[in-house]
Amino acid sequence: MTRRLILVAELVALPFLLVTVWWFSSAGSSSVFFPPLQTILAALVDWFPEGVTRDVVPSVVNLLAGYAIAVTAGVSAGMVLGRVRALEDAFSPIIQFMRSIPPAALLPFFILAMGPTSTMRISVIAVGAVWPTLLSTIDGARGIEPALLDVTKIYKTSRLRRIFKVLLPAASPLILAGMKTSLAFAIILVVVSEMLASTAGIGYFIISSQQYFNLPDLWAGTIVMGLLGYLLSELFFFVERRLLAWKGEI
Amino acid sequence: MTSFTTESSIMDTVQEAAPSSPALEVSRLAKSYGKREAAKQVLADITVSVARGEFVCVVGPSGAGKTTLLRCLSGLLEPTTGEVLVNGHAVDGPPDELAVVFQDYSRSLLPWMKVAANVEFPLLEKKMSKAERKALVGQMLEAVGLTQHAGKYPRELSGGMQQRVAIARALAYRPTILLMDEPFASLDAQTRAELEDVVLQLRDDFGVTIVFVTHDIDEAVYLGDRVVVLSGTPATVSEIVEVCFPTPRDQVTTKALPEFGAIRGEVLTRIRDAKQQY
Repeated sequence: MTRRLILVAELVALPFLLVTVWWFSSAGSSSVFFPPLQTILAALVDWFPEGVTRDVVPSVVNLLAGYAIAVTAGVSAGMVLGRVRALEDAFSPIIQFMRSIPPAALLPFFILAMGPTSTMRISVIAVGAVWPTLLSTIDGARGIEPALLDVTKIYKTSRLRRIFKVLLPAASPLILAGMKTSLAFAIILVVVSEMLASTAGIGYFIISSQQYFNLPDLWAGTIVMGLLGYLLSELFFFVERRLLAWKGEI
Repeated sequence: MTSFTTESSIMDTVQEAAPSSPALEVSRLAKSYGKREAAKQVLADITVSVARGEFVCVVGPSGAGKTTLLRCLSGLLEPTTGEVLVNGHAVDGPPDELAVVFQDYSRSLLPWMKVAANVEFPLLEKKMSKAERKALVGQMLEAVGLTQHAGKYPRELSGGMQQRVAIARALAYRPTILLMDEPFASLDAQTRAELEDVVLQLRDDFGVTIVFVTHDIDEAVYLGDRVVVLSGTPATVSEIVEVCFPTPRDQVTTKALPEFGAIRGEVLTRIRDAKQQY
């Protein structure tokens, strides 16, 4: 119990220290660009709680929907491509080209084609974030231990069980590594997509604050985005640790 | 050890299918890898018959094609010519009544499943209730002495214990034929001796027919009722040596028998002769 408390203290100490330093060093600031932390927090309190429903909810919904599509598509296609050599050889050049396009470069086209809608943002996130998961899953599927496949043949393991109990777990360390990068892509894309052709979302809040030269709001939005990204990656880490507990090293 | 009611009923139905045939019959089996000019023949004209309940060891120098032969027997590989019959039926893919213990336990166990789940894995395809599966898993873990480790991951066990898990998994499948591919090759001598005795005991308890591939002549002579010597390129059966020690066998007294040295010498000579011929 005490060890736990110490651990928590260690975890909290440095952020607390940094915030304190920020608070005092910015206290009397007259800089337009770096307003006092107190002003920023006041802006944050002002924005809360209707800001949550207005900005955070649509951002999170778009982010999770796009990410879910990217992961589902990346893992399914990756498993097939990783297990079928001929398909991988055929698709590899196209995939390498597509993933080299910075996802943000797709935005102008998507806005034109689909209009300023949630569907457009979800599509951009899905298309932009799929590549790390896809490539990593291909690697994972390709590297599955052949002895395990022999085992499933000898014991006549059904197709579904082979996929979900053998192939996916075997590839899971690399799949999860890819999903982690895809999540980072998705977070970037949700903000960028909301900065263009939008009327809601955290990205919109940040860009409109900038246009009104409202620096405290701009900083408040940035902090909210940072917290959201932090929470999501912690959540991811938590799930990953559970799924890979069998490896015993993380 | 305990006897199993489910076991006898399953085995009876299998044996009724072809009551008089041997457990395993290999006739004129040959295997080549590659195509046409690039083809490399590994096995040539292998003919062997294994009786029900028999323990046959296959020895031969490394690279002789022992593993290839075993993969053909298990239905994992298709022979180029010739035929394999299991309980009188031609092998076309892995037969239901056959299980395999692979050489590399660290790769053939599912590392994300705990020991009990690994043993249960092949049972998931059988029409059994959850309770029946649990009971069978418990019995198998007891038979290999791993009851205490049921809740551990394979990586938490020593190599010898991992191979015990693989053996329990194979036996839980209730095979009439168990193929073992150099199962103890990467274990230390003492663990290997322990596991050899575990396998002999299990053979008696379950009445299973065993084909055991090894490069260790002592191990082959100690375990087998017969030792098949494989040699040459492509490999052929150069000799089948009868081993007629009393059972149960014992690591100390059996290996001290004068016949043990004689048979060991005979097998060794065969392998050496065959090497000189080629």
